[in-house]
Amino acid sequence: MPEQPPANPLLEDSLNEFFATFERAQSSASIDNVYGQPITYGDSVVVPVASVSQFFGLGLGVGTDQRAAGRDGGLGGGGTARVKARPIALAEIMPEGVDVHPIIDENRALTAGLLFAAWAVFWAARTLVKLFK
Amino acid sequence: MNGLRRERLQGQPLQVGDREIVPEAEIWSFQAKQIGLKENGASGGGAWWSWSRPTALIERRPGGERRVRIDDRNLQLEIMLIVAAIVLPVLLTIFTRWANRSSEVQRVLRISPER
Repeated sequence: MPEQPPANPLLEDSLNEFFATFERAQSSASIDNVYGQPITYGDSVVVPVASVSQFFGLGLGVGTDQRAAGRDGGLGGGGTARVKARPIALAEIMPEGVDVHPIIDENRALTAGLLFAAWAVFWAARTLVKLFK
Repeated sequence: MNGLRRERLQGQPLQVGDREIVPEAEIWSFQAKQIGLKENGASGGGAWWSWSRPTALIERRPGGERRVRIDDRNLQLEIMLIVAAIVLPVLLTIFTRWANRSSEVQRVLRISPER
């Protein structure tokens, strides 16, 4: 029978917390983040709609010095997290139907367009050089 | 559980008059975690990512059901530009090779003694 590691409350707590963090993260990704609180405006109800991305990473180390009289233990760790919400549309619920008004991030669209234009100019120049060299 | 996961969820219905509006979203998530257990401790780490995006509003009325799609116009534009950025070099490379080959053929024909 394989030898079981000795019971260690610090280790046990740390591991439980490590796995619980992932459980909590999974439950935090919910549909409530995507659809905002409805706002009544005249006859209509407006619902803000967003795209949400979340990320976190963590690392930890737990150690005990079993030779020490008091079985000293230590715990270290670190992590990073990022949450980003981007508005996508406004949903307007009117008496006659539902209408979705998209929200365009002009700065983002312009950046993407400029990057593409630079890429296209580079390839056009490269093609001309290859044709006429 | 490690790996990529995709879920399609429906939220709390919103009652507007005799209609019921049900929001729908798609959630992509990925997690990777690993723990190494040793005799005198443990070490490990992990990462988790999720992306929640709206897909549609489902309008339920006594007469029937209608699905109103929610599109991310910025994402659509970016995907279109990425596809164009991949296709453009391919097309230009094919064009350059074709143009160089046809000019080479013309040059060979011009200096050929049969002509």
